[in-house]
Amino acid sequence: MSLSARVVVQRGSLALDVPVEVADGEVLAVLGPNGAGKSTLLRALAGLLTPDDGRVAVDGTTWDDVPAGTHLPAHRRPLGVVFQDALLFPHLSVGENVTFGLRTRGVRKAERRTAAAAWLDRVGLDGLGDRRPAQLSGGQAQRAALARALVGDPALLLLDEPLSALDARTRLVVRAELRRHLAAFRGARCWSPTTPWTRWRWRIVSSSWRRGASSRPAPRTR
Amino acid sequence: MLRALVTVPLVLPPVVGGVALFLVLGRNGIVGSWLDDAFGITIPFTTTAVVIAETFVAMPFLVVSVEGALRAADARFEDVAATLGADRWTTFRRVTLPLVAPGVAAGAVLCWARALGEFGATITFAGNFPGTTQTMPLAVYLALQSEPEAAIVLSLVLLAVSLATLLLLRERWLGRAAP
Repeated sequence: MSLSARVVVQRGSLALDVPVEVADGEVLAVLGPNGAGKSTLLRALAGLLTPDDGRVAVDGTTWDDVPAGTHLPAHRRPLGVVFQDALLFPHLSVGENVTFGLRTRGVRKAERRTAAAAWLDRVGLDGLGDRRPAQLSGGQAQRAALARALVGDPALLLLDEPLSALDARTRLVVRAELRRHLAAFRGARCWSPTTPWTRWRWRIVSSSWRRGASSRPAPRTR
Repeated sequence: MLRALVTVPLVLPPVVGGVALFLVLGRNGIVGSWLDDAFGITIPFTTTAVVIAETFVAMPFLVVSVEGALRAADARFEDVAATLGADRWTTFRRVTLPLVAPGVAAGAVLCWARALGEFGATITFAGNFPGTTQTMPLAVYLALQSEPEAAIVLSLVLLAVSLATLLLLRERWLGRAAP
């Protein structure tokens, strides 16, 4: 599963023009200062924002092709997104949150239950499925959000600074777990880390893409 | 524009609202005369008129409350739902509506309580016929002139309902003041 995209977005002073290539199982880290357009890029890849130009293709399937007028809406894209805040639905239990993506895709209740239990177990939240999101700590909530993003077996996983809302110690724990889960994930990943995570081998795209500020750097390997 | 139109009954004297309804839906009104000619339907001084008058006066409470709830709801939840395969309708049904449900419920209760006490627009547009258009406040007003005891009893019933409504909403309002 691979991602091949070029995203052009023009929003006020933000001029984003990024080529992105992520191979199967590879992790792409998107680095840049606040306001550089990291979240905008991920939102465009997720289909929450229609790019002004360019195209997005995953596994050879076109998700966005602006010149051809193709736009696959976000809910039809097989992807998982973890946002800065966990954003668990407050009116649903943790288990229902995790299996929300299965419910919208018509998976039966019994199967959803099994999947919820298995995923909660995997992220270390076994037995907490009946709790309300408000009863979870920040780290637990973010792990539940990761399980929710991965449960539908997405082709592309987008992580938008998923650790930024956590305190330093929780961040370390959740980061270690993230690495474990992501190692098992076979799709393409785009990741916008809060701090560089050097122990992992990544391809890094620096996001000084503001046109005029500097010439667009080619993705470099680290 | 639509918002102003919907919320105008909030500040309009109810009797004026009743007169306005009369001018529009009355037998010689703009819409009313057409209804009378085409279908032989006359609205004023019927139970339907009561419902229309009270809806007209009380609906802004519901609209304002729901609007506030929708504004306060975090739109990012809708993004999350979209990335989890929920189309717009599913998102509305499974995410947005449950999130704003308390606001909708509070608005509905307020709206209902306001409608229960409505006097001016009802008596202007629907009249005061026992059994068809007489509402409790109208009954209280009439009873006060002939048998004050009955008026007091009816008033106590209305007072009890109002207090119950307040108690029901109190938790929500207090919760909002001190989150």
